[in-house]
Amino acid sequence: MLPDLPKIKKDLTKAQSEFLAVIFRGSMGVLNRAAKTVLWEGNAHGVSRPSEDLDSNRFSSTIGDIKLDFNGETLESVFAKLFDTGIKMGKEAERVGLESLSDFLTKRGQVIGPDGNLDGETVLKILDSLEFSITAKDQLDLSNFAFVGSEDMLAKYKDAFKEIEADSILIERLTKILEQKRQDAITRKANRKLVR
Amino acid sequence: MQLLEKLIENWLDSTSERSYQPIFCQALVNRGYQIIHSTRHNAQEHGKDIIARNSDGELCAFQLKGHPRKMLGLSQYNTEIVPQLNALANLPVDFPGLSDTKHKSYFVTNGQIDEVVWQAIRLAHLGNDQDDRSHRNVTFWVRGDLLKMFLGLDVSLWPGEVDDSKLLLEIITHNGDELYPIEKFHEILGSLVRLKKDSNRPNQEELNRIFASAALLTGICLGPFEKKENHWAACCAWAILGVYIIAAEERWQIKTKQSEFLLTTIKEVVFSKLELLSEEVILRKDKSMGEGDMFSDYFIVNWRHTLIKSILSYYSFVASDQGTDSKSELISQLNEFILDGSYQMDVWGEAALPGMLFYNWAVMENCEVEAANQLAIHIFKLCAQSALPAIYYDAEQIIRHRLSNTLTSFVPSINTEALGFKNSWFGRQAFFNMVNLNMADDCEGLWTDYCQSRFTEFIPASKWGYCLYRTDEGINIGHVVPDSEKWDDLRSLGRKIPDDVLPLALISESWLLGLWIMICPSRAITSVTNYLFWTLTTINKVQPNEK
Repeated sequence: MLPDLPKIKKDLTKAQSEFLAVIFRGSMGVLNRAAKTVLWEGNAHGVSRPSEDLDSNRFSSTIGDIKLDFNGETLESVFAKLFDTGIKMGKEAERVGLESLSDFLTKRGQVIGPDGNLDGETVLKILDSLEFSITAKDQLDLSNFAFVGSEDMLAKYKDAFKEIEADSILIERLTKILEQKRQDAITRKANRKLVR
Repeated sequence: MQLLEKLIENWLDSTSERSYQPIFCQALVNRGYQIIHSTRHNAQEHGKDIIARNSDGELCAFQLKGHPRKMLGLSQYNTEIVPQLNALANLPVDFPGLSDTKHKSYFVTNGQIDEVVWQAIRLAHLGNDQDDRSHRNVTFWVRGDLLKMFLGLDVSLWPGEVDDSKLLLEIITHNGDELYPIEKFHEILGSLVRLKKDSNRPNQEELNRIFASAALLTGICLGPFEKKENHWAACCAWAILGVYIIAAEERWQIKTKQSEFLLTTIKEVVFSKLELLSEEVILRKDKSMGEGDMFSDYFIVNWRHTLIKSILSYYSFVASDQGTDSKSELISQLNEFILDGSYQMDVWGEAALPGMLFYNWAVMENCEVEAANQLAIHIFKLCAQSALPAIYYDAEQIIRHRLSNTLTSFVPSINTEALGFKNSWFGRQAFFNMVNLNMADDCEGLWTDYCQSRFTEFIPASKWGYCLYRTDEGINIGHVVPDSEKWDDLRSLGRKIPDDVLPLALISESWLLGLWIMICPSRAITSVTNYLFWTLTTINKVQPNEK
């Protein structure tokens, strides 16, 4: 074998794993923004605490604050090179995943894929296909309503909602759908029973 | 004592024939044999790894095999071993200066032999005896015989202090893929060969036995590194043994029989390891010279390029005087690698510079004059600007320190105030390198920088102290450069033999001295680097009045 410095490499691999963990969590989009609910003894009501992975957060901020060059390259660019392939793979996986989901749903006439058109009509169809929950006061609970997808898709959704807002007929239909969903939830709530 | 015996047993049960060959030679000498030749394993062996003469003057040929923890069975014996035994016993010993028509043959293995095979051997001997060819009988030495021989190398002389035993255990429990733990080895070997301050004076016989025992210790300490085929680690360990043997003889003013033989053996072993390293580099498919995980290797691969180019440049000088056709082919391939500019190098600290000098000279030897001159200037400027960490920091410390500036998980390992700034331990050597390379114009241009910089060298208090990895006794000499100097005087100064600083025995082994300054860079003082330049290279072999 050629001369080596395995101890340094071991420590670098450890640093790399921590960095990747931060990247991975960061790539989870809006889902990652939800406060982390930590269960501990006595927390019967599921009170949220700040996320405990503070070390990783610190590490992430340190990486952004590069002080030294490595042979003319910053550590950030070194990492970026290494992760470039991984990010491309991730995007590809996201694209393929969304497309298969899109195909699946399109067959049921519900949604149009990321490359297709997304208008107000389609959004209403999508909302109609979803199931909503209600709060203790029988109002629709929208706090868990989150969007997961690429920025392109998000822009399309935003445009579609703007279209609904501008069209009084579509607004009326949206109101009807949401009211119907609320009633469905109330019915489901009323039908709860212990079957023996 | 039982622990040491167990250590030897464990080592024997895990080592290859290449690894135990030098120790076996030592054990033979201990038994009164005179070693005539010890081959590197290649096709020209004709079944004879070692040729020696026993105490009765009979010629003996030894074939070594490594079968650790294995039992030699009948089928392997018939198919693999018998043809080798025939070559060993029937073909005469072909070595210059030997006219013996008969020789005794020995087959040596660190494994064991099945009873059925013993039976086959006895039958073969019986047949030879009946045909009056008993001289063709092959004597078998197996694991038990080897263990007895090695234990005869006075393990009792090994340092028995708790600290030394702890260090020994630490070395043999290394993974084997790292750099050789020189500091630890320095401690235990120094104790064994009586190089500590408070060591007692040995007599000649005792020193002979100590050297034999030290060879065994070196072999055992190399166990994990040999398993990983870590050739550079093996070179370091054997070279340190060679230098420490010279140091012990110098300190006690005793000349031993063992030392001459041991230095020859060490040279053989070191050169064979360097040859293996060269072959690995040349034949490697992965041209980037990566090792292991690509991500983490990114941060040290340039350090590796620098080290390998330095080692192989050194080897291209010391191997070229061996002269066989296969060797010259290897050297031409080595030169091709050395001149390949696609390998990025990292001059990580002053400790890398002694090796860089060999690289510089190799580039010059290959007629790349402009590139060699630029490199020499670059090395000098780095020193004159005190841009590098001091010569006493090793690569691991410096790379860790660099990373600690970026990654919070790396703790700074170097005191930044002691990074060598405002002072250089290699500036004078770098300037004289330009003098030796006959770069008169450049030296003239850089004279002001040379005068204004602070250059220091550590000169050990004794010649034997020079041979130690670290010594407490010596002086730091700060060189004050006169405002003006004559070029011819500088050239003459560069040719001074450093016999006032180091033992003559080490000066005469320039191959070992060259290796020593790479292993222990702080010993690369100006007179030594100058001496190596004039001894190893063929550059500028003209009288000093050429400007």
